Amino acid sequence: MELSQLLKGVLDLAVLSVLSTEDGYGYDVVRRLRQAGLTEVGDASVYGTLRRLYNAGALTSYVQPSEEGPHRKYYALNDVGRQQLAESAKTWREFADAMSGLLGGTA
Amino acid sequence: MNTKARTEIDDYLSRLRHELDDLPAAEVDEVVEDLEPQLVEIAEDGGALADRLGTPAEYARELRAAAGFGTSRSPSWLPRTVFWLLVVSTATAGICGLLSGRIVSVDAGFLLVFLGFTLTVSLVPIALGRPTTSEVAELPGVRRLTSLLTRTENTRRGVAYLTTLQPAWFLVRTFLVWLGLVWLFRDLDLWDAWPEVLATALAVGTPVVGYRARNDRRWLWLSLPLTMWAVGIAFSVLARTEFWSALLGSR
Repeated sequence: MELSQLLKGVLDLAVLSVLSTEDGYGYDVVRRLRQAGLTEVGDASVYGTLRRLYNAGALTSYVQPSEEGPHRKYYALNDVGRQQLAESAKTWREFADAMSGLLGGTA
Repeated sequence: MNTKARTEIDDYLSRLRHELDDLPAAEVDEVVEDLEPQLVEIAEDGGALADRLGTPAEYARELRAAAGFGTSRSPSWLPRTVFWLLVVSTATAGICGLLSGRIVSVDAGFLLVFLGFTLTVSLVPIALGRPTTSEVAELPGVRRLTSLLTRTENTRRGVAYLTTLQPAWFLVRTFLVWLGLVWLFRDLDLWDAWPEVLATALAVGTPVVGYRARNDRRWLWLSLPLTMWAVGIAFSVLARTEFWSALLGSR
């Protein structure tokens, strides 16, 4: 698998996971990813991932009006998104276990 | 929020829209809707938008890659071609300027046609917006050139100083363009009584081109050849002995 494909898949999983705990708007998702330790990920990459997941039908969106600031567009998981999250998380854990096994001999 | 911040945000977003204008309008609206609250927050904190998010072009590129929109707006040969067209039309304009004083005797009409051709061919894609000027600016050769100009404190100061001279240069250029046009119309035997009038009408437009080029880089494709033409005319003036005898007083 090409590296950029791999990273795209990982970012998908991270974004889906963030949204599974709570709906989020653009840079709220960025902030939560950074807080979780994914500091190197660019803002535009997160926004682009949100768009791709939305266009693929894994997310819904709604606008929440606000008095003090601009209206914010929130993204939320739908059933398709939750399904994708479950499958990707499973794949990731299998991959992580395999890597731990490989590295266990050298770490 | 103050108007300066709002203007900055609107400017960023309009440039971003331009970078994405090959995409469906609805999608671009969504992209902008996602980003705007963050721009507002950065601006209200007094930060610089480009520091935090990159230039609109850089942001658009990263967004395209992550969203699967396709990573480049133009076929890769187009920015390079348009850049070299600028070089050719600028050089041609310089030669036209140089020859308009008739150091060498050339048919002025032919030169004009050739310059018109190279200018048109270079201007059309740029005016249509494909490639964008940022795509041209991101060409490796152009990047190296611009980094040369900003490498040291001294070169940066030099560039800043030259920029302050720009209004004066626009004035000088207007006069030189006027002169070149008058020569040209006389050579072509156009508008017997009125070459000076027509030349004035056209020449006063040149500072507009120069100032437009400051904000909208597409105007460079007209402004740079104009500058080189004026430089060529200046040299052809200096090469005329009448100029020197007039300057020094006939002996």
